[in-house]
Amino acid sequence: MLPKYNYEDFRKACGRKKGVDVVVFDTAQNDAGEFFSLYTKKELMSFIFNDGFENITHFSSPKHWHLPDIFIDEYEFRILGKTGCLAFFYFNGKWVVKSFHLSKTRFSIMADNIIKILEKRKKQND
Amino acid sequence: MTEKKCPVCGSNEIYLNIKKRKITDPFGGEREINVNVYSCKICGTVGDFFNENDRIISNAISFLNDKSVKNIIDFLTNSGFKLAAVEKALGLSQRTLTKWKIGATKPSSSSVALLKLIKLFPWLLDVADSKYDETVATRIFIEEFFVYFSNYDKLLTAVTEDTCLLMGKKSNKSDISVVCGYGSDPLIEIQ
Repeated sequence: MLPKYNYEDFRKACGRKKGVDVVVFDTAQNDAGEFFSLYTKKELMSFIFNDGFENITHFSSPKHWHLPDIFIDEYEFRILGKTGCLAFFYFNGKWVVKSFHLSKTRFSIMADNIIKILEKRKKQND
Repeated sequence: MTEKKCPVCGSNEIYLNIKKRKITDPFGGEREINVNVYSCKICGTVGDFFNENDRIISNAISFLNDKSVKNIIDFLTNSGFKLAAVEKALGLSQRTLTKWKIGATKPSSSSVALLKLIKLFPWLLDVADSKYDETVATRIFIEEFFVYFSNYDKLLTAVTEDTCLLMGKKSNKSDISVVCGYGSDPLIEIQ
């Protein structure tokens, strides 16, 4: 499935003065602070605008729960050892950040390394 | 007075909730603040519609940072470190830490981060004092690893909380043995 919006447009909007074109959901801002130390809207906008994600991959675009014909683009990203999830949509000339939380998979570098060892061990056993 | 509208759908059916939020710092404690959270009945958006909270949150973080700096410097003093020696190791001007502690000058964000790392790993001061020599740093790190490793509870908490790994302690109480792995299949054994 392809994303519904152009991510670059969203990223650039985050860099505009005072983030007036972007609205951040309260839960998204809270999670951004708790899990990624991006406590304020200014910090969050600046982080997105400055391309702080190590890799960002679109994975789904479900429908908005309230607004007909509006889709929400969901992305998975990585920041240092943490994997997170970003969801946003565009409506009425505004970008809305719906979520910014830890991914359910929550891989850490240590867990990744353990998995590598597991796979190696499995090969040896096979 | 301008009527407040939802920035997303333009509806004026918005409601203000003043929520209590806790901002925490591992070394500075916590501070409770009130933030404005608006909800739109029409489009379901919930958030800080008019950018009123950033200043309140920034002030709370700044307060906790100041407090954590003071607490970390107190920790160093109480642990027997001489502030002059710490300043020398870190390449800071003499009396910098005292000035930070009493609030005469404010440390930069990177200085606060450095102090927090030192609070967690005081042996980093030895690394700095050895002029960042890689061999010495490795030796210090290995020594500290064994110190950490002897604290089984700390190690267990760190690993299980952060990676959802299962670790188990072997029944032989005389040897500390840690088994890492998923489920009942032990993967790595360290004795």
